[in-house]
Amino acid sequence: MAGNPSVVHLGHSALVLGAGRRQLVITSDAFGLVPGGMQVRPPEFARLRRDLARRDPARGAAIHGWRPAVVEPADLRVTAIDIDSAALDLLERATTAPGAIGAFDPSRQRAEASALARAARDGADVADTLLRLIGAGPGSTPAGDDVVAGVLAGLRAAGLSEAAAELGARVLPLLGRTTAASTHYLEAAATGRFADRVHALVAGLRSARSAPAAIRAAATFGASSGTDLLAGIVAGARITPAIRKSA
Amino acid sequence: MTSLNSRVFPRLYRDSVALMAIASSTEARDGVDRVGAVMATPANIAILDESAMLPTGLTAAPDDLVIVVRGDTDEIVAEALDAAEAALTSVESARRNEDRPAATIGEGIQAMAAEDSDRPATMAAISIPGTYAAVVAERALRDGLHVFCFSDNVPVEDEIRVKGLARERRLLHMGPDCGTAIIDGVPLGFANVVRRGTVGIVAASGTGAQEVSRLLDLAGAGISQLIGVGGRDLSAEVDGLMTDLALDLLEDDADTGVIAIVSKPPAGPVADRLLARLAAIAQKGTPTIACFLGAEDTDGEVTVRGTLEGGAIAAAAAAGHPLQVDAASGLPTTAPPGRVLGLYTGGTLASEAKLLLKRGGVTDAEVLDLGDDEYTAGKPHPMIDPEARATRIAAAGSDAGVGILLLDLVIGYGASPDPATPVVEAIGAARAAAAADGRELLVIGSVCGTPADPQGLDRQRGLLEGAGVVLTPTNAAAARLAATLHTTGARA
Repeated sequence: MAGNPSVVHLGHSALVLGAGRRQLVITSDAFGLVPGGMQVRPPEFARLRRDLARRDPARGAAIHGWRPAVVEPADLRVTAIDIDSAALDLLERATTAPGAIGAFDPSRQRAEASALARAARDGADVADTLLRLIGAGPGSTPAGDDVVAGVLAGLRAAGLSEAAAELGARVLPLLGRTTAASTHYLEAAATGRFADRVHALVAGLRSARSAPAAIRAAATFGASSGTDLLAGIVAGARITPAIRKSA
Repeated sequence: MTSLNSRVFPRLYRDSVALMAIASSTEARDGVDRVGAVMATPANIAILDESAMLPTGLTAAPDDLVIVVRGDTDEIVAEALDAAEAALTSVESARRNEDRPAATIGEGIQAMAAEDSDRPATMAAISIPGTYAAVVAERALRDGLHVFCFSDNVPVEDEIRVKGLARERRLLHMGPDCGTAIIDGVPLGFANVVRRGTVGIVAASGTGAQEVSRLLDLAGAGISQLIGVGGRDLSAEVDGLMTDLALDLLEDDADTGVIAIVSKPPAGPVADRLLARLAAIAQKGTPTIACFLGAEDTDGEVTVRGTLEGGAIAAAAAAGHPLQVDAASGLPTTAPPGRVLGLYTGGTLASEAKLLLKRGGVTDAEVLDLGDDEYTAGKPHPMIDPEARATRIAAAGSDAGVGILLLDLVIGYGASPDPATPVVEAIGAARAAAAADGRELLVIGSVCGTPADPQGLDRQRGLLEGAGVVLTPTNAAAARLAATLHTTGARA
């Protein structure tokens, strides 16, 4: 990362450093890998977090002295999988979980997921839907961004990578409408790369046996992020003609 | 006419869980109608506008956090915004000082590593809704931690999966639904303060293990380790996955000289395999006791006992501290007519009582395990909150069919700070109700505890004796006495 980065967010499971609109997300095992980010072992994460917390914010987050022990690039693309109809039904039922934050209810953004997925598949205009979704809803990564990222992942899991790429291309110009913390991961989703946590949810599409683990995982992501992502994934995956009927 | 106002916090991020908590607590204030706590993106500004929640002149950027409050008066709204800001600041302050309790296994590991890197975390205790327990347990195991899982209602397939992972990594996964353990002298869950000794216990039963361990303490024997494995570990499905590992660890433990397994009857093939394993351990010189509730007592390479009391006596003898279970003096020789009603807080203690009543020829006894899911849905376990049982004890006085009331009282860590008092009050009410109807009620019980338990064993016993409860040294002795009085000593 060029220049002296600033500390965007010092979380207990993710450290976000930023320079302009670019970000480096350093995560521990507890969070999983994020596209373009780095994942380190818990003791190393704890040391780094402690060091960054002690720095004078005005001087930025100079981390020149830090040398990661091992750097292994990871492929975080979502590819087409065999989707099971019973798994889809189970996951869909889980997306009705409430998650209202004060006056803001993410179910409003979740309700747009199916229309967005259908429009993306059919090559229809998605501009208005994206304007309503990107940056909309509760959370520092707003619920609408989670829904859009979920639809992008669901389309790719359903083998509709061209539709996903075209939808991604429509998302990129709108990134300025959301938060810096969300921009990074929505940009990655628009170009086909997804965080470990998204992969964990996509894996739930494979069978009724794998769905409960994905539902449990979704419940642990933020106040409503996991469920919002899941709503998008289900909507994206459901429109493929190639859904396997459960045995 | 209501008031609407907002406060903008430039470039401030808070995770959604913190924002939800702040929005909810602010919205709950008197006179506050609605609260919005969101990032000031164009889409959110539009939503605020549509909801008539956009104050005039609000200027903010997508990376700014905005809190909007609608309330009855300007003053109420200003106070609510102050409270929300204070809550945001307190989240920040807690994070800066790093004194926020860890909310995940990963955070816990990091917090301990940051505090003292020479003393890393070694065990995770999990007590969350069962649906999520396996995910957290897996996380802990992958981070190299042993697991004590108090959570119940964990699907059996999840249990098999996480125990398989634990075994692969040579880590303990105690539970799910693990009520008790004592590891290196540290009690986990419900546990009595038991002296250190040489008996290593593997337990698939919570109060069963407590009864055996407290009797070993009474004998002066003590325990080296008490490893809980969860009530399903010896089922055909789970196949003793964790019992096998626990036995490996106890075999390698220099402080363990005797090994005992405490369980309800295991599945047939599992029992056969386990007994063969215990025999092999005994052949190498470590005495082994299988305390399988309901099993026939046999003496061979493995000493098999069918009661908790029998298992404790055998283990104490093997450890060189014979246990004398003194017959209590002044026991009654007759009892009022009527059936035996057992109102238990300990599941295995209830099972032992049922077994011995049946063996004693009592066919009409009713023994309830009030800690069972059937009775605890949405309520604390009766070992923690004795009130639900007290209500049933009091009601028994109005039941003309009940002559003998059989009880347990479990003390120690995790249990109610004073379980005897509500029991004593309820017994008084029950006796008064029975007397008003011209009847009597005999109450028999035992206390599962040690002199070092925080509630005070003597005090708890004294309260019960003061209320006329006939106390026996063991739960088994209480059940036997009830059976004898019911079958031979019932007054006409």
